[in-house]
Amino acid sequence: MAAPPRVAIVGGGLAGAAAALEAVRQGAEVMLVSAASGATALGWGSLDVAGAVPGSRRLRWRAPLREAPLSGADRLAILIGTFATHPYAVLFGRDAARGDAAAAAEQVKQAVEDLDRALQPHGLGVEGSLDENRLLADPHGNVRVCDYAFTGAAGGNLAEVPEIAWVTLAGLPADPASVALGRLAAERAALGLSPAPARSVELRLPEGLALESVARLAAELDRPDALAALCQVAKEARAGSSAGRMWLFPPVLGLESPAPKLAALRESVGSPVAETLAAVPDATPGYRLQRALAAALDAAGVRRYAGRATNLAVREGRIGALGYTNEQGDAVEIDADAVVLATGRFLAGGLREEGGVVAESILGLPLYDGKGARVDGRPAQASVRRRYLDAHPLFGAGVVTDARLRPVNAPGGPPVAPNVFAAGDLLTGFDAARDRTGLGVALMTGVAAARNAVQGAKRGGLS
Amino acid sequence: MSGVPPRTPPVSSDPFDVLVVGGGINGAGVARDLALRGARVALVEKREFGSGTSWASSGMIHGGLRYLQHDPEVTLHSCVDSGHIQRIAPHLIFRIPFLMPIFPDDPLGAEIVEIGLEMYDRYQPFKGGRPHTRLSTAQARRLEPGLSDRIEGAFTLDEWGIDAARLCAANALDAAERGAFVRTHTELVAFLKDDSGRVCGARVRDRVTGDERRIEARETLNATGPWVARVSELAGAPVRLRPGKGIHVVFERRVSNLAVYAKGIDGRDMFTFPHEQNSMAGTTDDDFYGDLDRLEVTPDEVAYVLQAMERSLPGIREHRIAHAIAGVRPTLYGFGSYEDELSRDYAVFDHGERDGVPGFWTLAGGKLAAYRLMAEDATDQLCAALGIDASCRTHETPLPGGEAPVDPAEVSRRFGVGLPAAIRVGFRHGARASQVLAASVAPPRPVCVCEPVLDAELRHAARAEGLRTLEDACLRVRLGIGACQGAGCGARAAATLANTLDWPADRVGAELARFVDARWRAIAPVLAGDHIAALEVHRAAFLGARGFAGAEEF
Ligand SMILES: Cc1cc2nc3c(=O)[nH]c(=O)nc-3n(C[C@H](O)[C@H](O)[C@H](O)COP(=O)(O)OP(=O)(O)OC[C@H]3O[C@@H](n4cnc5c(N)ncnc54)[C@H](O)[C@@H]3O)c2cc1C
Ligand SMILES: Cc1cc2nc3c(=O)[nH]c(=O)nc-3n(C[C@H](O)[C@H](O)[C@H](O)COP(=O)(O)OP(=O)(O)OC[C@H]3O[C@@H](n4cnc5c(N)ncnc54)[C@H](O)[C@@H]3O)c2cc1C
Repeated sequence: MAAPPRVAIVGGGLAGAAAALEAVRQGAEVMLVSAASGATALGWGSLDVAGAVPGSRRLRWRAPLREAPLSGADRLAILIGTFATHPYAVLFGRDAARGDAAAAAEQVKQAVEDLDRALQPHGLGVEGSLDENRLLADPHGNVRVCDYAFTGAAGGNLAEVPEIAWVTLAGLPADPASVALGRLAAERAALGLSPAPARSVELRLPEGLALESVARLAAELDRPDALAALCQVAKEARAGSSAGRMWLFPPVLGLESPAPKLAALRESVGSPVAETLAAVPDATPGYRLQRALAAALDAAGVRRYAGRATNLAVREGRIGALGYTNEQGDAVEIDADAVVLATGRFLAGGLREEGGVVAESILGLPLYDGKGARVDGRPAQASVRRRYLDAHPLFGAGVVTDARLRPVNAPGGPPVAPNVFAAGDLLTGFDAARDRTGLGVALMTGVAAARNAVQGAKRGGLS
Repeated sequence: MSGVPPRTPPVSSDPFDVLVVGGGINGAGVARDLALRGARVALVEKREFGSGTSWASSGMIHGGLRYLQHDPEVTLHSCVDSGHIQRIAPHLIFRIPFLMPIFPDDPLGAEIVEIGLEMYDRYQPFKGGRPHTRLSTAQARRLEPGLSDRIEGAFTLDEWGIDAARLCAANALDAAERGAFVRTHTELVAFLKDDSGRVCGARVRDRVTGDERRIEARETLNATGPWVARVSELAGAPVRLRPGKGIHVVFERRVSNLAVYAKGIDGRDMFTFPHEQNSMAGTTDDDFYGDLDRLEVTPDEVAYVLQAMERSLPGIREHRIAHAIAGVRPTLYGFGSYEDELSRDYAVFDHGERDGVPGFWTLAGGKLAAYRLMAEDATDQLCAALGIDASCRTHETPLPGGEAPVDPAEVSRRFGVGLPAAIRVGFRHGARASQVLAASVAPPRPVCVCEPVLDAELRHAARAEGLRTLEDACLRVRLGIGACQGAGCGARAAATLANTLDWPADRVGAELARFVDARWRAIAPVLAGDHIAALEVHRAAFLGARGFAGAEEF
């Protein structure tokens, strides 16, 4: 039997992790090098495949002429059809007609199911669909129109909720409940939803629990005694509450799995319970995701290395190894038949500005914005615009690839190497803050890059 | 405390004695002086108190070292007045010891510089400053390890700094407490003139509500800083300035222990200095002919400043710059060299006499450090015209909070806030610290972690100080001007203000949009290196948390 192909992955965010899990499924031996956590660990709790963007003329919540909400599938089709450099267009075909979009939706469904299956044993699940919108509240009372979300926020779909109990915890920093609820009502009206009664419930936890931040409290609530105390005060507050009312908690239900907390609270209040999404500076859902991904990688037998990848080495005339610096500062090489770069953008270190110019940090790959303008080799300053809301080339910049997700030197050109692939935030053509496709792109391109990498390696046609 | 409730001005049949236009340090200073002398005053500011040149200054209450050679009298006055400001606002002022490194290639020899410093020492006692010292290279580098190894010793000298925006607000609020009508976001759009051609007030527009109204006054003072030319034009009494733009870069935290002198490539003196939680470096001085309402810092200006600083502090570029600030000096036209004596640095124009436009005055030029003296001069002249016979008391009457010392440890214990937050409130509000915190129902909590701005201070500003927009909170309470640039605190602060000021839900989104655009204008010119990563989180915070209600289209 031939030895399994060896795939080396750089980056431990969702793109790198999804690539690693898929490569294992495809029968590869997988090594993953990651320097630290990146954007994935800052997530607010949704897995946005094709989220709706407030104010976007192209990605509306409702179609302009028919008063019907667009679904995730509709928005995915719009993305594929009109944003030519978006990773979805690259992945699913640029001139995608309606039929291709349906095929794309099918692939999304499959990828989400696989992810869900990998994460479930580690206490996190993915819920949702591209056919129905999931309307989730954030801690300020804004509504985000999502397709998929993780255990915790996923259950708080406002589209289905007759009545809301907005939970605040005395002493925990939060917006005044009246303001958040006012915002929520305005959002419902703006989205054309029927008004739903909402009232706030203030819970007072016993002394001694750390309340200075969402993250601190979440860590406390991983302890059974602290959770029991929360359940107790929630139970006492439920009096007079109608059974159908949805209790919305801030995202404090554990840094580990929120599932047991949700179950215990549901029991205590006798009604559905969910968390709101998180908002900066809090990121408990992202932390949970990053943690569950690491556990899933270990369970799948992926070998994880802590360190910073520095170079790709040539073996017998082609890329054959990944070089990285480990935590002791030693230079190490990992032999590999294919490499997937999933190093993210500036905050993860995939891109950086050094010596006054922007560059891709491992190979110095050329970087383009979604409109084809070069961003690397010039100061970051040269790629920003006047208004905050503008599409800044700097924040939509990334690596351009061919349809198999192999980086190229120029749009339409040949790949820089036959066995190097890119995925996630490192890719050009999207700006997660503006188009709400962040983790969706990471998942779909991670999976596709891994498949292409393994297939190529198996065919042995990589030289 | 009566504060500045959003009330409407008295009907026009009951005119004010003086309408002061411009809530920078000069307008606020005059309004306070007039109010203390019993005049009926209205003060209108088109944006936020101090949002023009005053906030963009280095915030130094200096003693006028540079006037020493030509006009020691001015140095004396400056030092004496610095002493006054320390007495009326002891809480707001902080010592800034300076290090002046000596380089082998300095054009003036160290001995000549030291003679000047020895002369300056004689004035230091008036402003509570210490005499200069001469340090060896080793001593200097021990105090300031980042100093260049090319230096051959250094001098120290003492100056004072102040939160300029707070100083403006404190003057305006004190005027309000003494009966003045004071309102921000209220812009003069036209002058009112009676049949004889006398200016008798102005039409003003509320830039938040869009409402226009008339404010009648016997005398009208134009104290609009670099805008004086434009405003006086409206009255038909032209005043000419030679506007000079200056910028500062603001580091996210302290980058040196002391203020450090540096020289620009063109030989200009500049410095890096600690200012509150940050360090600032600047400044530039370039003739400016652009749009005063759209000041932008350019990458060239930032490069020029950093290059200068690098000579004294070679590692300066390793520190992260949080944002940059630009301002325009309202320098009077034709007043020749920079070294001119202070007495000719500013002017009070009686346009009745000068241009045949009675009832209209302009106060222009000067320095933040000299504001009290300038205000006294202008107020003397206005009072003479009004027949008010009262002498100036601004040098002895404490500004709000300056009445008594405050014990931060006690404030910390009493209100259950951390000591750094208590010290901060004590610094900003002095003896009023407890009042600020007591008004809060829940225990005060920081809304930001970069600098512990307490929700209670924000609420107090909205409820009792007439704060009107989220963007204004950057100046009024220093919200969102640290490392996070609002990412961690903008939304929470907006909700706090919405709660206090009863904003409708869609106002919150609009306020956040304006706030973040303003932050972006300050960040963009210094966006570089690791700062870009922080901006990714910033964008996720603001774009990710945008709601649908009232969302701006793009
Ligand atoms: C604050 C915030 C909140 C967000 N919330 C959401 C959300 O709720 N839903 C959503 O769909 N999207 C969200 N996004 C967008 C989403 O998080 C990103 O699009 C997505 O996580 C990108 O995943 P990634 O794996 O490509 O990159 P990252 O998660 O950034 O991972 C990159 C990895 O590469 C590693 N790396 C980089 N260089 C090297 C090197 N040289 N050697 C070794 N390792 C290296 C980093 O250490 C890191 O582990 C959010 C983004 C931010 C900033
Ligand atoms: C870079 C720099 C550094 C400086 N450093 C120092 C220093 O360290 N020490 C020092 O003593 N001095 C310093 N100065 C000088 C000092 O800042 C100014 O002299 C002083 O702030 C001028 O105050 P002002 O009130 O005249 O003007 P401003 O502060 O500009 O106030 C004028 C106000 O009028 C308002 N306004 C304009 N038009 C209208 C209208 N139509 N209706 C209503 N309101 C209107 C504006 O919004 C503005 O707030 C510095 C200046 C600069 C530029």
